[in-house]
Amino acid sequence: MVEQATLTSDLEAIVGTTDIAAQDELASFTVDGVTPSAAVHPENAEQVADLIRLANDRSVTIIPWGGGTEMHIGNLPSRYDVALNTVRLARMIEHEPANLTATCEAGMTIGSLQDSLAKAGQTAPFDPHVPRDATVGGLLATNASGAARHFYGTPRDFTIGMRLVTGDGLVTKAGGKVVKNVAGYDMCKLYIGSRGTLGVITEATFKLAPLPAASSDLAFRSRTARDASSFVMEIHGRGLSLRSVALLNAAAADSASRRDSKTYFLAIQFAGTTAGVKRSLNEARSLASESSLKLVPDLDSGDACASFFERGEGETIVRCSTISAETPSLMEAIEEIAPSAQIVATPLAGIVRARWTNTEVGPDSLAKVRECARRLDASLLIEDCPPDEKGRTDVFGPRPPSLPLLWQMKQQFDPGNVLSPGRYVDRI
Amino acid sequence: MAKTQIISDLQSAIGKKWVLYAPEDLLVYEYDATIERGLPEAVVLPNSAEQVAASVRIARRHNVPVTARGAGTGLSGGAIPCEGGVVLVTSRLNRILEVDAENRIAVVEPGVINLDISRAVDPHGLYYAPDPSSQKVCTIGGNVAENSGGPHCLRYGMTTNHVLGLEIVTAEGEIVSLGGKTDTAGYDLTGIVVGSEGTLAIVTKVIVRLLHKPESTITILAIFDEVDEASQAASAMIAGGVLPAALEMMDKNTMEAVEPFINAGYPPDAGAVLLIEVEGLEEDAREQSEQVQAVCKELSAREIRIGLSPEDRERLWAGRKGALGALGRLTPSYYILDGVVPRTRLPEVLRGIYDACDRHGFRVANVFHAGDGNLHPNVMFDEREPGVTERVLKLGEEIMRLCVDADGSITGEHGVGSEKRSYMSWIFSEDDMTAMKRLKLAFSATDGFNPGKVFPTSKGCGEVSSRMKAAIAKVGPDAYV
Ligand SMILES: Cc1cc2nc3c(=O)[nH]c(=O)nc-3n(C[C@H](O)[C@H](O)[C@H](O)COP(=O)(O)OP(=O)(O)OC[C@H]3O[C@@H](n4cnc5c(N)ncnc54)[C@H](O)[C@@H]3O)c2cc1C
Repeated sequence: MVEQATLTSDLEAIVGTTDIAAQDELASFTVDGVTPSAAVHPENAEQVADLIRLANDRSVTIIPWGGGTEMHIGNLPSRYDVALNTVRLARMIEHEPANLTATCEAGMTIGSLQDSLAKAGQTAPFDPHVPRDATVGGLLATNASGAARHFYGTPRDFTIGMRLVTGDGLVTKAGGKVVKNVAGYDMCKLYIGSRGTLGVITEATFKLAPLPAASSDLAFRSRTARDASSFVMEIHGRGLSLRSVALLNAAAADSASRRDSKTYFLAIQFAGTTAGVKRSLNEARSLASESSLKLVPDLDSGDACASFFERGEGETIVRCSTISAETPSLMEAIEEIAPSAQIVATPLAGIVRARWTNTEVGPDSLAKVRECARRLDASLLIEDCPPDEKGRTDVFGPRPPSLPLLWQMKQQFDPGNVLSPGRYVDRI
Repeated sequence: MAKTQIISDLQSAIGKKWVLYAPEDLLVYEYDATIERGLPEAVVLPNSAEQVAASVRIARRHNVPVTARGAGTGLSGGAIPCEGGVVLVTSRLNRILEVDAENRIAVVEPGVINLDISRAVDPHGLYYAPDPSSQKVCTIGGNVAENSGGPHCLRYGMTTNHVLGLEIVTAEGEIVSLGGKTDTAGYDLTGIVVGSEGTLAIVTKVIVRLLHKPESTITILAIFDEVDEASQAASAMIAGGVLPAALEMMDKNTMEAVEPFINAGYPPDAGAVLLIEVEGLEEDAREQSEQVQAVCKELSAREIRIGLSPEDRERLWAGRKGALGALGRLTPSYYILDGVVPRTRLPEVLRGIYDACDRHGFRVANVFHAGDGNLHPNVMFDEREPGVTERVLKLGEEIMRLCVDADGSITGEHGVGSEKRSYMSWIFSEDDMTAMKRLKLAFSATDGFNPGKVFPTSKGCGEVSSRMKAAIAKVGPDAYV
């Protein structure tokens, strides 16, 4: 265990006395029940590097902390001494509309980034429904995506440059500021999705997208997941301007206060040119009228799409990834195991996210859902579950065939094992 | 007699017929589409991942490097065995293993030719989006290694955005799968191997994402008096919210070269043309086409031509696609460069390029992906002139400097290879390079794959070749970059 008083003074020597959290604020940085001994707010990459070097010298462990919206995802930390909060690394560095690129610091929230880009009619193509208080760094570290994934891809697809401080304090740049760049290894790919286990992201540059000129929502009810899913595939195949798609089961739809319907709820957002959106709406409506789907008038699909990121206390949440065509089977299978589960899926990307209150389902539901995902060749990430469950199981699922390479990467980039130890795949 | 031993080992692993070592057989594998060359000691043509793995293990045992080779159309010397050793050719690994139209996924071997994927999935209304101009002959393995782009990657992204998973053979000779049809746990090693120029692993299988073909495509050709106006129009479109599928530019020198052969009707005094493609729903294409035309007019385009039918569109592309062929008839050799700058810096960098070429006494034709800021200056020269290659390379270096000074990069799609190793330090610090070296170390402590690429070394790669034209010729009479 580190000596508290000297740790604090060492940290203060790096960030100053004002950029260290008070004792009573530490609880808000708790991860899986573990509260750190300190939380610091470095102001630049050099301070981040100093903190990491200190951690290596003193055998202290650090967990990087952005908006805190996804900190529940990961295995139990094997040790957690210091939260490295990126709240002060929140500046917009550069936005050139004619280049359709922007660079900002990692602690900038998605909300303020998007507000600022929107003034030029542009957007960083993060999923439009991610929480506004999530940070750029956090979203990159988790490669988060939701209902618009088929349209924008995931952060790995539009991040063209990064700055990251490695686990032994090298301040490195990856990529650059140009939209096309194959100079050297694509280091951004390694860092994106590495969940704070290889380095601390301090800055990122993105390819932007123009904000669509028009957008419009449609919602339908469907008796089966399969009908809704086929409908989505059909309109996608026709090239209609689909931006977001969320398919909710009855439990999820009802909880979003869409009445007690006992049906699946399909929320769609079209976006693009005015004429393109108009045609998409008409065509989707008329196609639906020939199917078993029922149009729900006057609904905003926003809440439904945002449910990819919702969570509650005492819940288990799993995120499965399958091939598009298996989406309905997977949804149905999960419902059979955990009837009260709220499920939201996006058939085009094959993502199925299910959450249930732990007290409302059988104790072996999680194991059964896992087994069922395995049978359907789907991968499954446990986003949240009771801490004792996390102690027993690897939330990332079975070991991937590339596991030795993953450990090698960790060894190369965080040789002292000071960053988010234990939290990654195979408890890396 | 180490060499004899390795050859007989390779022969027993993959069959006598598929191991070449006679000097006359090796010559075909010493060059690609760059200026350099280097002779391998042996060439193997494996037929399965297992045979690839066996070859790698044998080479490792004999302590010689392995360099993978696809079609040899690379433009940075990627497939040239700088340090000799074994060249592993993927031409027999050319099977399309699976087409899953419903889920828009295909699984292919690395020797499959880029365009063959689109051909195979065409009946399902699908295609494979990355379209390097060499797509009629270049392989997916080469595309993965170089993270190749193409005219349409402005809107759809590069190879990396379309590869979901890989099967690789590691330096230890093990077969490992990375990524997959669904999300998988762990670091994005697929994303790392894409663009690693054959230095980390040999790719034996590629899972690619397919797209639905757009309902409607409109091609717009806009002719400008000045290069500056054309470049400004390119940035203005993007700033104005249009992201065309492709946005290409050709300068005056290119037009002059092309005109006698293609009869595209380019006015002799025009400064540049933009070739723009918009696509999507009919309504989207039409609306975007109008926006594009408005921007071009505002920036004083003197003529705008529209292609709606496939034939008309092809006609508008003819000049662009015929550019290299036309240059080939004008000059004994040309050196194809690849650099990137932020789109807004195009005018100044283009001016700098013309300047530099004038100073060095070379003619240059610029035909490139303007929408991405990805420049391809083609420097014309006569290799028979003594000392000319060194001068061309010097000029190339100066042009790369211009790109870097404008906040750009030394390569947008052709790769670092051996050619640009020494420029890496212009854009990356020592610590940045350390991170890349560590990544390589994580894959293997040995330098068993394609040594002499990407990282700066003091050693040069091979000698200067005059065979690149042969490589370019393979792409066909309508080869273009
Ligand atoms: C006329 C012409 C036009 C071109 N246009 C474009 C363009 O528009 N956009 C673009 O990006 N490029 C373009 N190129 C460059 C070139 O075609 C691409 O880089 C292409 O991807 C190379 O493919 P290849 O099969 O020829 O690979 P090769 O040249 O044989 O090899 C290229 C690299 O890939 C590695 N490699 C090959 N197979 C494997 C494997 N299975 N596993 C691991 N590594 C492997 C090699 O070791 C080498 O490093 C053009 C080239 C020409 C001659």
